[in-house]
Amino acid sequence: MIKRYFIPHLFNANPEWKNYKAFSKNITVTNTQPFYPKDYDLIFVEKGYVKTFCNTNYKKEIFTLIIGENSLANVGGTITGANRFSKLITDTKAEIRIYDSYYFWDLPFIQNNPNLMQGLAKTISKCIEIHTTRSHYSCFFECLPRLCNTILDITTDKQIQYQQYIKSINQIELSQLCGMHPVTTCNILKKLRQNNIIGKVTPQYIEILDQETLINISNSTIEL
Amino acid sequence: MYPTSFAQLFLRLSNINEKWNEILPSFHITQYKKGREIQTTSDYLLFLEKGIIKTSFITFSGLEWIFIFQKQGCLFNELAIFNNKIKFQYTAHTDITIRQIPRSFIESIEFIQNYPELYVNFIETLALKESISYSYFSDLAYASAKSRVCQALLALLKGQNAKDFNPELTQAEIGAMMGLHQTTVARVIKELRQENIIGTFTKKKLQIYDIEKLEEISKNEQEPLIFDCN
Repeated sequence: MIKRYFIPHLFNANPEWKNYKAFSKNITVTNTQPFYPKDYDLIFVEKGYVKTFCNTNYKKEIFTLIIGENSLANVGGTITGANRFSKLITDTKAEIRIYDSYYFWDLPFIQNNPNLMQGLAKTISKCIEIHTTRSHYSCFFECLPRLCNTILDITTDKQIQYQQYIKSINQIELSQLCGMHPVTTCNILKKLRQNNIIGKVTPQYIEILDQETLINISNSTIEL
Repeated sequence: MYPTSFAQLFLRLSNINEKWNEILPSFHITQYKKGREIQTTSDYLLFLEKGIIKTSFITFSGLEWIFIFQKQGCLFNELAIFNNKIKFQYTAHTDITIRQIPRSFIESIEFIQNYPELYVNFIETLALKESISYSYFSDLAYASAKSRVCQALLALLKGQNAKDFNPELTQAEIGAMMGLHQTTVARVIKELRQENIIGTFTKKKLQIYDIEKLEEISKNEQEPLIFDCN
């Protein structure tokens, strides 16, 4: 049996932004004190992690990404001038830095800070990967492989730094990450448990009894 | 400012990187015939100088998901130069001409310092593609088949001056973009025609009669599906 712990989608993705503090202000986010960003607010997570929520075409707010320490949260959204994050919350406490991204599109600033710009590009590329994989599973895969892929995607069986652990992910959040109904998620977890593929599902980790089968289901190479 | 909902996006991007023309003559040029798969590596960012390419993703089961079409004046293969896990397949939809821009050139500090406006344009392009990839999830994952087709028709309508135009896209291609079977697309098109929302829909001609109704249906959420695994 292995325990796969929930981890953020991005962690230490932008160390080059850590010491750049101009055009910014610091804000504390807690589970009772969400932050609602404006269109040009570029968010950098300094400590802890934040859970980001977005609005969809249907005015429905969905849980989208978990952003860990030293990572920019919403580069693409601020560049397009349409920050799609509706709110940020966290389970305990997170320190975030809010930049006014308007200043970053000044050509002399770009010439003087090429490494910051490269960091922006790298992070958007990573977000394209996350969204494309998720969209691909949502449009082309049944719920079972979709959930298995999400489990593999947001958990790890590797040794990680303490700051990288997520304190809590519930089944509703897990459902939203897969674009599924929570009851479906609950039923699929039950089925995976009955087939001895997973064991206990806790807010911090999932016990995996048969990782190979979990991977094969996520690739749709086998069905239950 | 770019749109963020799928129905607001163009299914075909064109000339979004026109600014790069000034530096292109120094880069290697290659031509591909229609239907050929473009050989890509992580060593080059590619620029489509002429023609149309299809960007797609082949699923584990061999199905093709068409992500987007790009016309002349667009960069592509951006994800590869960041060693991204997503491997898109690029196919020449018409005869095409491309330029190969070395990754080492894009990654150099000198490039950003000498051409900051091109680097901004590069980041904007990534942001637009991120917006497209996000919209596929946020707008399509929760949409019914009919809503997905309507979103595609609205996206095709964007940038057109008339309600009667050449969509340059087949029903099968719409299916491959929206994760729908071709017969499902055909059924929805038939329904929309019967409801007098659209008229003819062939590869060369698409008639849209009722945009408001199309927009209304495009926002219809799919009833939440509950799979009972017992």
